[in-house]
Amino acid sequence: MSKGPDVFFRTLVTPIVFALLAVGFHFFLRGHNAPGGGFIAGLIVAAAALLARMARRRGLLRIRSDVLMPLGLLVALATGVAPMLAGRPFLTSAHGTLRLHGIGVFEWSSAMLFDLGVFLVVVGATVTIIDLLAEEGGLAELLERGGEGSGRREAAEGEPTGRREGEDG
Amino acid sequence: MSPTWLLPLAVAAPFAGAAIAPVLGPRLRARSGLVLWLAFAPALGLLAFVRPALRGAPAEASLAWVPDLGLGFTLRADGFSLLFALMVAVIGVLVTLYAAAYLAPGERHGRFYGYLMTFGGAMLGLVLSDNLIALFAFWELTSIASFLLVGFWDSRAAARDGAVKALLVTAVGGLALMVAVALLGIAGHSATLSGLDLPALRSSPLFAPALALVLVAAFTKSAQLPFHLWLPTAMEAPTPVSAFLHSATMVKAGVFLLAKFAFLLDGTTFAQVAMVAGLLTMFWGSYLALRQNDLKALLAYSTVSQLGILTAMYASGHPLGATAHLVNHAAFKAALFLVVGIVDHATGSRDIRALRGLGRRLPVTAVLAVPAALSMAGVPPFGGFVSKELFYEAMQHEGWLPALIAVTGSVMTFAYSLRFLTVFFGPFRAEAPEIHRPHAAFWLPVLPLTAAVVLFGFVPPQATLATPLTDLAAPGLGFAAKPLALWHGLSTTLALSVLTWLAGIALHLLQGRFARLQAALTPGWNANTVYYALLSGLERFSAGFTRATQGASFATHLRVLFLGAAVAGALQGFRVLLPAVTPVPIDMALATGLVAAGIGGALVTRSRLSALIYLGLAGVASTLIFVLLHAPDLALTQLLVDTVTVILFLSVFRFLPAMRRYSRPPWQTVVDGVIAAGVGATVFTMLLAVQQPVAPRIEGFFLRFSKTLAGGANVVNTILVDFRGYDTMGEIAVLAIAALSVLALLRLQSQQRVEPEPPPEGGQAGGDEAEGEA
Repeated sequence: MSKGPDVFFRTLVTPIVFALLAVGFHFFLRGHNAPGGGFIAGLIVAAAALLARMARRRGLLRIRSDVLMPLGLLVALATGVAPMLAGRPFLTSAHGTLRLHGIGVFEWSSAMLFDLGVFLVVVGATVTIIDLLAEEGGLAELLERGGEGSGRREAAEGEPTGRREGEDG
Repeated sequence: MSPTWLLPLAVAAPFAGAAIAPVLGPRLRARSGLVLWLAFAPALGLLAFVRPALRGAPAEASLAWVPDLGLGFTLRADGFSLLFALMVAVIGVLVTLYAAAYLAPGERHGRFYGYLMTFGGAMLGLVLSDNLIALFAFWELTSIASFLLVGFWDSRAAARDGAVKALLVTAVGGLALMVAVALLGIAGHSATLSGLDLPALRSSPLFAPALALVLVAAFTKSAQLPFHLWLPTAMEAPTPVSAFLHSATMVKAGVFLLAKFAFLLDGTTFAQVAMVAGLLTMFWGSYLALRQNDLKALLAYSTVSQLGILTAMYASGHPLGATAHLVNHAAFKAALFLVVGIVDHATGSRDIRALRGLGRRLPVTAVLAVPAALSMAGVPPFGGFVSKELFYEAMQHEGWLPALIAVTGSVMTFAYSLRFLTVFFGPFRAEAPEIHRPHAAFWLPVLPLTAAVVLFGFVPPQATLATPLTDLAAPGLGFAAKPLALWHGLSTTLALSVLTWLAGIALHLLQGRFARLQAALTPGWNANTVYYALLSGLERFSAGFTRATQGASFATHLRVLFLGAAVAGALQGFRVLLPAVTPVPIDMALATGLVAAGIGGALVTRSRLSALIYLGLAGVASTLIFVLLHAPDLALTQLLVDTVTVILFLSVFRFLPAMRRYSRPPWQTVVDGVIAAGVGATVFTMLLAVQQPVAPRIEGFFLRFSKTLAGGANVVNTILVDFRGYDTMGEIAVLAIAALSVLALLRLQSQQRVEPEPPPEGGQAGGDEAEGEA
């Protein structure tokens, strides 16, 4: 049995993670007009983070999940409060087009900023949970041994001393 | 022309002060107070609104929140609100300055001033707010600030207990106020106090419950019987806090509410109830005050008693006298609390029996204390005399019994006021051999308060400062202003006052015997024993309930949960009409079949990994359904959620116990089957129910306006981030909370694992006996 995750997996994970990030970015940007958006993009990035951690390549996608969640909430809240400063109700949105000479015409929407908040919270929350579980050592070990978990407790299946399902004592 | 922006500024400034207090605290220490009192300066500037308020055209400022629901943040400076706000501001400034002298160098100053400023802002918001919902929010905020301040010295058990008690009792009132505000808003067709539709409100069936709830709120906040118990224990707070919150301002919020709602209460039985409660509180408070040996406890019960006077007067429709007494009480009680703080600081004791003759050693303090205590006793020429006369006059109108209770209570008030003063007279005695004289910074904030006590009752009636203040409240509460005077001529009221003084002196002289009588009469139970009995009963009940429904056995936990769902479905399900059955397209039938196969496989398999794969199948198949329904956003989300879930599940694999089947008795199988069928039926009827049109369909609106209003062609996304942005805001907050909960749970577990002696198999024993082994 090898010491770590499969060498092919470890090598391939870098391009895969970057590809996923690009896809996530794409889905985030197009979200207002086509399938996508902050929630979906957040899940894609979380999946990328999950992959990196499975390959024991935590450094590949270092995410401070504890910062992301409050930051996302703040961004969303700020998007809501900003119109109040202009005397409009909470969460009033604005949108329009931006013309940059020589570059092109872009559409913009304040809801995008709100969506960014959603994105950050989704990534933050998911990666927090992933990291917590990975800390316990489950992910990489699973890939090393393959199949039925680590086998430590699963081996005890059927034996009378085994702990019963769902009873945490 | 007065600038209306001053109104929101007055409320916001203390909150800004609270925000910078943690920054100032570690640097300036106690002296932060010398800076932070400026946070109350805008509120003092509200004086500019006195003239429009007197004209009956109060200044207003409002900020839209959700205008479609009539939610706005409206501030309105009518005379009475203005009077209260100015009172809060003046005492806020004095207490903040006093705290700068009072707090020891080692205290957590940032925290203290932060809480104090938060309270000041909440109190100003409460008295100025016209919007009922904002009023409720500020009301709750004052309760929370009070909780934090009472428990400020959190290493003391008594402080923690007092804080919890204050919070629990006032939170009951807060809940009552929330419902009351909702009922008033519904019945009165307005979210603002000034906009209530009175005829509609009075004829509404919701009127009586709303008023009853208002009374509960007012009684808990203003410590009226039987809710008076929290106020004396709240005296564990630092003394500046007791002076500010628990005598002069916050406890008067209940009285404020009564006064504001008096026009609704007028002529109802609730007014009678409140008057009786007020009188009884007044009597009982002064009876208990007489028994106290701690100077601060004496003042606490005295405050309970005085709040009773205010409640009785406002409820019985005597706002003039009540307002005069409100102002007087704020001045003399705040002064007396601050005096107790000085005495405590100088001698290290607050025990009346241990202290004598402090007048020689603390001459300035004594000079400041005497007028305030005499005003409390109702002795001319101080303000308290004037308002006590008005109180007597009011109670004579109500009949001989209220008048008798008023006089008896006042006799005891007189006696305990004299008892308070005994610490300043006679030969010197204190526990500490030497006492240090207070710095001028200590007594300077008391000076304006005692000056007010004197000026409120000053002999030439034209010079009485209380008159313009009651005049100010008059248009706000809608009563006729009248100059307040010391001398009303020879009348029954004056005779009663003389009687009070004589009886009070006699009671003071017989104090020792009366104390023995009181000790003999003390019953074995009181409001506090009832409170603790209720509290421990509640704890036992909830512990038992939790054990029974969410105990060691996960199976029982699920049974309770599902049984609840099944019962809820049974109650609702029969109202659902079955829709016409239409043929199902073949691709949809196949996808649905895959979902069913996945779930069935997960149920049947004996290996957890296979179960996981079956569940994955069900997930992918539901993705397929979304694709078939042309919902790419949902399909994408479902696919991603499913992917991440499966991988996450794999990662916790090794922590899971072995999967084992265990048999259950036949009757249990039948019961579980019934519950499962009930849940299935519930979900089914629920799905049918959501198909039924209950309102005009709205998808047309979204499709039509997605591009023009939200600037996006993806309707799903514009709903999420724009049209229903409010919902999404709540959802991401919930998501973050859930992640934090997971964090807390896992961290807690790993910490327990590190502990020296982990019981290796001990956890199993408890689990084994809980669930049917048979």
